[in-house]
Amino acid sequence: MFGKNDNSIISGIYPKDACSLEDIVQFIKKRHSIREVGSIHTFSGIVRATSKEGKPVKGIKIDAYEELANKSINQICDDIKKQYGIVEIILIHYHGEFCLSEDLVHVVVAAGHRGEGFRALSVAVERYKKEIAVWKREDFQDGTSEWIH
Amino acid sequence: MPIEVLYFAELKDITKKPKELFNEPISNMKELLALLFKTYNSLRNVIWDGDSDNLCSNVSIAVNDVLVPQMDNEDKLSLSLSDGDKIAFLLPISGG
Repeated sequence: MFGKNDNSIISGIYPKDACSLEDIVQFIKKRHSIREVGSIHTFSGIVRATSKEGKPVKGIKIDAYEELANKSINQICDDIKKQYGIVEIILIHYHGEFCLSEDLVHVVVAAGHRGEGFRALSVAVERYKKEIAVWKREDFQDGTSEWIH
Repeated sequence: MPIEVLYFAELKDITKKPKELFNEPISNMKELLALLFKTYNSLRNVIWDGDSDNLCSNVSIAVNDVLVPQMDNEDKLSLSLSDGDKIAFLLPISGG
């Protein structure tokens, strides 16, 4: 994730805790392009304590096809950056095993103005949910597990 | 060169490994699936549709880290494989 010389943060799929939301925001704020930015928009997907059906969850496992997932993440970010008013986007998705409330994904969009930023963030979130090659398994409090599709 | 198969999600749970090399002569997807089901019978329950006697329609295939475009299931089964190919069967995704 971090560049050899400049501590850059590059969108992609990484082991959990590779960096924090604050690391990403600070990285964007240190870039020269921050002069064009009027708003920074963040989304974090975290582990919820219940499944969609209301079953108590104790944790989640994320499995990933890293090569395919990284290609899709790069495509999403490239497309978003082409949108009017978008200065930067960083999308980090983690894989591994996670406890309740732990971070699974961060999407950070830096925009000239809030309108473009909100729209771009929403598009990026909806796209990563549908396009990147990761799978989520919910581990329930009763000891059972289920891959979500 | 052997054919490499990558396993994700339920497929990894069944095989208990992330990837595997097969040295047997395999020329197409149908032959690979026959070998996989012989090795791991439970895989059949996850990616094979007994009613249509074909791959489940929601299973995608990646060859050498490239998603194979949508095609008829019959065409999926006749997909040619070459020595050294890296294959993955992908169930519907579910991001965090």
